[in-house]
Amino acid sequence: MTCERFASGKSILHSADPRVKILLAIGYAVVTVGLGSLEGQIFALSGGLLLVIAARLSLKEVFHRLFVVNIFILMLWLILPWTTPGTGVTHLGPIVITAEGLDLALSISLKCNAIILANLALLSTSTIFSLVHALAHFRVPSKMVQLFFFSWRYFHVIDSEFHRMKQAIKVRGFEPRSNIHTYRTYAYLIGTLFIKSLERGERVYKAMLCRGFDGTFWLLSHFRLHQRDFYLAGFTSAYLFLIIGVDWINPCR
Amino acid sequence: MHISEGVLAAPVLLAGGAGTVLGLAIGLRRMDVREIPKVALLTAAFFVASLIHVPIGVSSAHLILNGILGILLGWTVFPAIFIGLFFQAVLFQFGGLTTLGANTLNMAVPAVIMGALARPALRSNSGLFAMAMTAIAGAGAIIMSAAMVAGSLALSGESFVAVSKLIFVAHIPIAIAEGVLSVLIISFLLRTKPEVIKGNMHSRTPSLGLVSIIIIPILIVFYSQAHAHKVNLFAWYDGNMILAEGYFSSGNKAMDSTILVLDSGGKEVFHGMTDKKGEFSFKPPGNGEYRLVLEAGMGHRAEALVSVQGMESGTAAPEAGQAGPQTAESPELKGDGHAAEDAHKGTVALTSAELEQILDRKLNPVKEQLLRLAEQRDRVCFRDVVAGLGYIAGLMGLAMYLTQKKQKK
Repeated sequence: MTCERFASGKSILHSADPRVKILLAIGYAVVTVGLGSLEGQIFALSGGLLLVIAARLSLKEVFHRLFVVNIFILMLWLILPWTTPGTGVTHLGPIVITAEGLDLALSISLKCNAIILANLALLSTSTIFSLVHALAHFRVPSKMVQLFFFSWRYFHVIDSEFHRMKQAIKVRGFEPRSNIHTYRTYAYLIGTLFIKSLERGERVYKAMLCRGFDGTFWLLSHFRLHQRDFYLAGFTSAYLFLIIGVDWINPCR
Repeated sequence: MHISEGVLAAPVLLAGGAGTVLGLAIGLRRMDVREIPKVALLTAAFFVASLIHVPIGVSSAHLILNGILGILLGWTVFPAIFIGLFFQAVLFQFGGLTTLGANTLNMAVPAVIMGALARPALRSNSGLFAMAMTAIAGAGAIIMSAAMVAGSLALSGESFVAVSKLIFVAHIPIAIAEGVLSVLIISFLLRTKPEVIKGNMHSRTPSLGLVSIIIIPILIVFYSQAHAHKVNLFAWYDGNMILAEGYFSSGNKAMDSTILVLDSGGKEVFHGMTDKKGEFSFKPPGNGEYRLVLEAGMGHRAEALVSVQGMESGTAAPEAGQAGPQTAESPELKGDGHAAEDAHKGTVALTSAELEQILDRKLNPVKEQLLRLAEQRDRVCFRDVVAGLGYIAGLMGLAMYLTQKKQKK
């Protein structure tokens, strides 16, 4: 399973320090969520798009991701315009479409997509390991970091184990349907997966003990800030201030 | 069951974040270093299992399994679910960073509660009662999560109420499917490796920590909700009509907003809209107390009470003052005395217009003063924030003291 689809590349966003990128991503999300004006939200969305372009991600892949997420947003577009109280714009039979509802749906779509684009450019360009490593530098409790690290390390192992078992039931002619047989098969599949992972967890712990594990999680390599990190942080935060300014000037909806 | 970025209101996000941080702290404290690989591998297994799509009727849904996660992990579900959601946010852009707290809380609190409910039964026996508890835990965790998701949406604005109802209803078949699956999975585990469930892992029941995790977010949300509705409604009775004006605390008029008039029994008497000046008038059908409710959208809402006395009941039919030509009046009433009545009305209207002007000039400063006072009362002061933080610190201190005591025993 290839999850870290965007993590390999040579752009400035790929080579930047993950600590800087995490801070920028959080900043971008917090600023965008708080935006009240249409202009501010459009600026946020274009900023996200600029970041994605700067990261030289495959636009086709990016839009595919956006499409999946926007299914939920589409649901909001179908419901919010007629459930929001406000001034009516048009009638669709007995249903009144309100301007406030349309505004709300638009603002959610803009904000959500802006944050997703920024996250794609800032976070998905790092591997999960380097993000977790950066979290350790932010004084996240060691137990949490270890959990993150092991979960991600063994996610792939368990995923391939799962796919092996799934192939095995498929070979034996299993076809998922809405009946108790399907449910029982899935339940046993999941139960087996749990037992296998628990047993593997015990083995892993014993192996770690053999190698002198005493609860400390050693970090051998450390990040170093380069000039490009300062450029990235400078440009992005300047843009964030620009968004805040635009939002401040323009009226809140 | 992920809520996307940009949907939830800031107080809901903050409340979710605060609750999740607390839950993570408790979960990590209760997890021994020796358990880390085991918990991590279970987290990974759940993440894999959540990618399975199970057919339900004509459609299919992906598994959530937070009930079973609660049974197996207890308080440690908080870090486990947090990690799963973090991976989903970073890898697939489902959910998001700002909603991570709220999403974690919505899934982990039901898991902890349902796990605590089912575990004692599972430990003591493995008969019908234990299986019934497992089914309740599996289905109940989904129902509770759906209710919490719906609640966090509904608290973010009145527009989301319909969406939240839809989400809740959509999760009912998923809850049934998960209840069935939970029973099958747990009975499989009991047969093949009973020590997973019967072992003494996380034997303590949740108590004070859970209470504080539930109460603190609720406090934060309600505290901010109380201050969010800053729209003011002034209503009075001028001997003939009930007049009302809606203001936002910024001083803007609440125009084109819906106004509901309810009588003392709570029955709707009339509903209409304010005009471009935020004004509204209505001729009451009789004596009594009327409650006016102004809905200015986005959760802005104000109420005012008006009592009407000294009015001859029966002569007046409910009608909107601004409707101009009186549509509610039936044609039979337009009899001989109509011309005289019209003339009478004309003179009254003239003088009342003049009177209104004079009164406005005199009363506007007073009204503004009142508005400013009301606003001051509603504003969230720095003092209030410090007090709130004090409460949180105090509650946390109490929780820590009690858990410490328990550990010493």
